[in-house]
Amino acid sequence: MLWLMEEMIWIYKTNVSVATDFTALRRLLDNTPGIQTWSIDLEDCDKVLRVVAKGIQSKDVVDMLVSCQVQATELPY
Amino acid sequence: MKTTNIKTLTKPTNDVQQKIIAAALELFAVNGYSATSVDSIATKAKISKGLIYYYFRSKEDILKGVFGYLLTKTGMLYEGTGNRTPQQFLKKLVDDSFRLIVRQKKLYRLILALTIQPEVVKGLRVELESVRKLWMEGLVQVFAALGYAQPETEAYLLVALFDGIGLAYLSMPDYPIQEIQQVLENKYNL
Repeated sequence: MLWLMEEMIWIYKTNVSVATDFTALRRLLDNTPGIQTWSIDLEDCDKVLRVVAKGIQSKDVVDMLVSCQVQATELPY
Repeated sequence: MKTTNIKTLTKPTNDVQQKIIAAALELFAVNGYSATSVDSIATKAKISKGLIYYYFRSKEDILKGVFGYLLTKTGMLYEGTGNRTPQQFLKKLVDDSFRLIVRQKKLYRLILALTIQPEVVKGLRVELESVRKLWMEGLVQVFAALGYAQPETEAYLLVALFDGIGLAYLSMPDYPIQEIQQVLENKYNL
């Protein structure tokens, strides 16, 4: 239950592309309680999404991204 | 590889951050910023790609990390004149610059290779301008205090001299670096 108390950083490989609705994606990530900051490296081949969060789980992020047609796979570190 | 549920117990350390910066610096300088991928940095640093993104948001963010590292490592982080007289300030600047050129030849070569790349200049535009401005203001003050008629021009000239001396030292095997330093010190009565 550490994810409830401590700030976590999750890294995801995504399928974000020019077809992605960035407005919806931004709205989703900005307005999700628990997500403190996020960024996507669009220059990288894996379109890496970095999320700093507290009080939610990684799989919650993955699940909600599906609503924006974004598939995300967590990258281990 | 660590799994998600133990991440907070085994947070990566700053040593890892240094490994990432060292690998990126070399790859950016040798292969070019554009041609360097985050994957290649991960391979060179012998760490996972995920770990790189733990510390850095993007490749450009890594570049900024490299820049910060270089400022600290080379002593080129402007700290003001402190209690030094203008002459003491110039003497220290000359000593530090020649020390960097001679003793950290490899690092200096990497810096030169890095700073002539347009993508790097673009990515670090704000940071480079900020550092340049601080140094120029400091140097102009020093030359003005020393009574130079054109302190700003003198500041530009000194910076150009360092650039030229560094480049010549790297490209000419018998470059008389010590004599050049002496000439420069004589020029400013140091």
